[in-house]
Amino acid sequence: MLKWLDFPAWLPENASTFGEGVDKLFVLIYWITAVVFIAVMAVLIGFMIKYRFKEGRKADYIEGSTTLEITWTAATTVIVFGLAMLSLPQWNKIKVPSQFPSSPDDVLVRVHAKQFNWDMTYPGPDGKLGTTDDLTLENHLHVPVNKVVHVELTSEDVIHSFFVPQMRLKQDALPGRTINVWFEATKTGKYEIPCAELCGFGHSAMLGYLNVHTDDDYAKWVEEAWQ
Amino acid sequence: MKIEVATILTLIIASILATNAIAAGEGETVESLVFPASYKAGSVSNGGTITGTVKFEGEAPEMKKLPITKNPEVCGLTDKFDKSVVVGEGNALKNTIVYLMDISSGEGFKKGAKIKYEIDQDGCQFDPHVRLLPVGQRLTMLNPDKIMHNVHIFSKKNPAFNKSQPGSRRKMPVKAVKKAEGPVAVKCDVHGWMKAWIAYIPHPYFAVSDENGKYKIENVPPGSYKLGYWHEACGTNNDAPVSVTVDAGGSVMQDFALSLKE
Amino acid sequence: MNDHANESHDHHHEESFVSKYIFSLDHKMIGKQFLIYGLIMFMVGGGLALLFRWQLAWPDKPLPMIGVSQEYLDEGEAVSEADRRWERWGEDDEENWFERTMYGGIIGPEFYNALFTMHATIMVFFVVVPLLVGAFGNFLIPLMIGTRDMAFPVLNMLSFWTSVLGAVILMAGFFVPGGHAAAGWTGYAPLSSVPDFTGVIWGQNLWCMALIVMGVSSLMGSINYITTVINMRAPGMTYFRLPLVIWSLFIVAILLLLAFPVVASALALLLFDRMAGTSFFLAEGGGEPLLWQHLFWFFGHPEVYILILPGMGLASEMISVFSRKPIFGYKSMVFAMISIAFLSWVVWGHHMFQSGMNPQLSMAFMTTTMLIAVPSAIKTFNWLGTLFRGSIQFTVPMLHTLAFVSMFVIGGLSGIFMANSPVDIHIHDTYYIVAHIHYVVFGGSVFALFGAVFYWFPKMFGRHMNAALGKIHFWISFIAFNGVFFPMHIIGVAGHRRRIHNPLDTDLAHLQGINEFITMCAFILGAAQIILLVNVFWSMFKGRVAEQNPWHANTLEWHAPTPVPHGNFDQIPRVYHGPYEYSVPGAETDWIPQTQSDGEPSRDEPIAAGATAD
Repeated sequence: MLKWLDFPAWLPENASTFGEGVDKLFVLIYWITAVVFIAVMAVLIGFMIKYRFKEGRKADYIEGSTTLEITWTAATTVIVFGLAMLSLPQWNKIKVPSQFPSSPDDVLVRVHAKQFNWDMTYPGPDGKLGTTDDLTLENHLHVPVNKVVHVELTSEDVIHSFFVPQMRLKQDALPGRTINVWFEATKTGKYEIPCAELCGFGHSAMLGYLNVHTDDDYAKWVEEAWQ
Repeated sequence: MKIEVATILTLIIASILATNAIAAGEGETVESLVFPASYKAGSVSNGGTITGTVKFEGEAPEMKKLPITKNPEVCGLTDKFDKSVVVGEGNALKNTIVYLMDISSGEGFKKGAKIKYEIDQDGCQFDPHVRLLPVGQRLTMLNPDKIMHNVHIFSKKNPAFNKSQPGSRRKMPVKAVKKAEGPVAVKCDVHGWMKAWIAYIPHPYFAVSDENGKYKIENVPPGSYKLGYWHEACGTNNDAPVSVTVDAGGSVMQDFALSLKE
Repeated sequence: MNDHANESHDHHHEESFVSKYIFSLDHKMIGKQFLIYGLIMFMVGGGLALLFRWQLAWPDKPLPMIGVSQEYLDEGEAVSEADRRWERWGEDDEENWFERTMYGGIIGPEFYNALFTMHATIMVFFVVVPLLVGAFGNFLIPLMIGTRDMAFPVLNMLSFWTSVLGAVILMAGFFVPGGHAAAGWTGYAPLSSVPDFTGVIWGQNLWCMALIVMGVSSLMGSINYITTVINMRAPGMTYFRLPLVIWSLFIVAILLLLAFPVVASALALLLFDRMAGTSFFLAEGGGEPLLWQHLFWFFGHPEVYILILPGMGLASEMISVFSRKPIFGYKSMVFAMISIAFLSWVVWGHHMFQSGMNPQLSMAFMTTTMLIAVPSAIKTFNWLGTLFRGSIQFTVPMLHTLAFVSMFVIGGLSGIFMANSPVDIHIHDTYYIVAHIHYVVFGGSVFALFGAVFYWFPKMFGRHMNAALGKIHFWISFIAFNGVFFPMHIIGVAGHRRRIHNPLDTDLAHLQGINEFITMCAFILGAAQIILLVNVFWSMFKGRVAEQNPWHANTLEWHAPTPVPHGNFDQIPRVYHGPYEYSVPGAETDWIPQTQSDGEPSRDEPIAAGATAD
């Protein structure tokens, strides 16, 4: 039962650099809301027991309290504004393109979503997309560990959503637009890339894989892929 | 009240404007078969036979192995190949449709419990690769894979068909169409490599070459006809069909040699 | 329906069955019609949910009873009668409905998508709005403000029958070729705007039309409510003497009036895209898929508050009556509702954090969204304050109200996770949001609604509902509700996406046990609603006859005779004070009806403490 109440324990393993920040915020909000919830429930149940109907006792005539109203309005406002302020840098880091990390070592890949597959296009040796040495692989994204990966997200038909739970990354892919996202994996492994936005009857079968390789393995994969 | 009236009016206008919905999706432009303007089915006695072999001209390209990117536990059990050009022994070319272009009367389609129009999806591959389907006949899609497939038929003249076939559904009927068309592509959007062709045919004088490149058109009423072919990668001879003359009870041999489209 | 009804009708002409029960102009009858209509649609919407819950717990397994046998699935040989029936249907040349939608009794992806789409559409537009706003708005507004009927009775009748038309159009969608709309209740374009992407043809068109028709019905209702509340209050019924439920309905009517035209235009554009070949939402035609989301959520978020505000109002009435205490901070309750209504217009972007909308906008939307926590918290604390030093009677309506408060707290707190945009990256479009919306709308609004049905039933039908059945229904519903929706938080955090047809397609097998548990609870929850239905319909005819003011409440509807005659009051009452004068020191009884002038303590002074704004 306790395990059911411990939300953070249910998070998938985190394997990205910014995932930790997201998880910390999650845990922070979890504890704030847990405390508020327990306090409110304790008061509610306490009142229910203490002030239950008893023969001969009359309720007190209390119409309100300005002090209390101001107190809880101010307290709630401070908490939610504080939370919003704390979240802002995290959000900017993950989603605002002008704040993306950038270095020559970064990996670039285009992910093109279509009903019901992901086309992963790698730029090849010249490092540019849209040239003849591009390689397109269906459903399999290969990236090196500890390197920033830039993803150009596009869609063929309907709205899809690029979701890698372990990277704490989710971004809708829109037809007619290119949306840039990034991540940096900290652990090697094979992770699922499900589609998170309803895209038709094959939605639940739309599934790709993110293969995070060590540097050596990645070099080997590159060699094999382009021979 | 007024708002209601306005809404109803809008709806009526919208319905009047209503045209066929835009057919989205990857409609590949392939050359089509040539169908007679009308066809009268009756009985044919003492018909002739057209047979022959379709060969691939030049060096046969190697069939490309397709990467299995999903459900490898089911789809990856056997290797899958790109079947756009299947060349057998002696350059025999499989999956070529050979047919009579201009026949206007002849026999009807054979009927019977044994004649089944099916496409199997066993192991995430359509079989047959080219399916002839009489107009007005229901197609049955088979799915022994226990995983979800999707039957997406890119018809243009007929209504397009796009429906899932979950793993639990071994057989799924595809509604019969009314117009001769094709061949149209059949794809599975769940498994991007799966592809086949369906030709909706108005008369039975169609054949598909087998792995030895052989085809056979039977019970042809005596007369002169234009003989056409269609192949996915080699195109058609719509511009220059072969003329054949069939005698009562006779047999005509006509071979073809095809090369890749430019 | 009721022997007494005709007695007080002496001075009115005899009405025919049709004008009394069908095309009635009486706001009370229209309210009751909405109640029955809403309850029927509630059963339909719930039934759809049970069907897709089956698929989620036991993916691709045939439905019990009607589905094929497992042997048939494994071996392909028909062994049972059901197998043979499905096989026969499969070989028939004429496609039948069952074969098309759920072949073999298995809920395939297309039908699954249609099921959850229609579940949400029905629950949001055809259940909660008709019940909360239609039934209680119609029944309570004239009675509680002290007038004889709505401002526009004919419009009121039209509003009901238009909504019936909407429901008929919507239901027709199940039977058209191609199946019903399957793009989610949010109908994101271009999935909804291009038939080929879903295979749905007329289903989606009918969905659009039904929503437009339903919106027209809401518009007629809201114009009526606004006019009535502004113009027809009884003498002495100032704005700050209005019961909170009237405030909530008044605010909701304004929200509906402003929000609906936006979604109507969006739906019209969608219809044009589908039927006239335009491309408002198609990128390749110069359109913009995100335009739909902006329009839809600009309406959609106020809509969410349309669903919860009346629940808050109803709960406020009941919590005050059954605590025998004035509502704590009446004016702050009113201002909290008004600020929720205002904020609801500037938060729509929080549905679109991951949509590709300019990420810089998220900061603004995150802040406004978080701000909604403030009025929500004020309301919660005020309800707690109302209980404080009260004399709490645990009647059936009060149980539902207390459930409402606690469930609303969970729903509100889980909303903070979603409002926080970085955290939303992970939980967006997972079961976490499903849990959140259900805690607010089901745990909140629907529990308040159940309580309200029980509370006002004596005034509506002149009879009491059965309290024992009411308590059984409450406890089963409450426990099963939490069994269904609490675990959804967990699977959502663990990455279980919403709207997926088969959880086993992805790496979620370790959560399947939870899915099964949820489904079992859902079936219990569904079965429990039968108790409610039985209670409602049985009590209408056989319930204990109710006295005029069984709960000893102050508000004007209890001043009207039971059953309420045509025209409501013998004489329009005069109002002397606010609605929550309970347990006033020195008074003879622990309640003072709003019509009572003697012993009224503070007639010319502001009603609530802390009300300095006057």
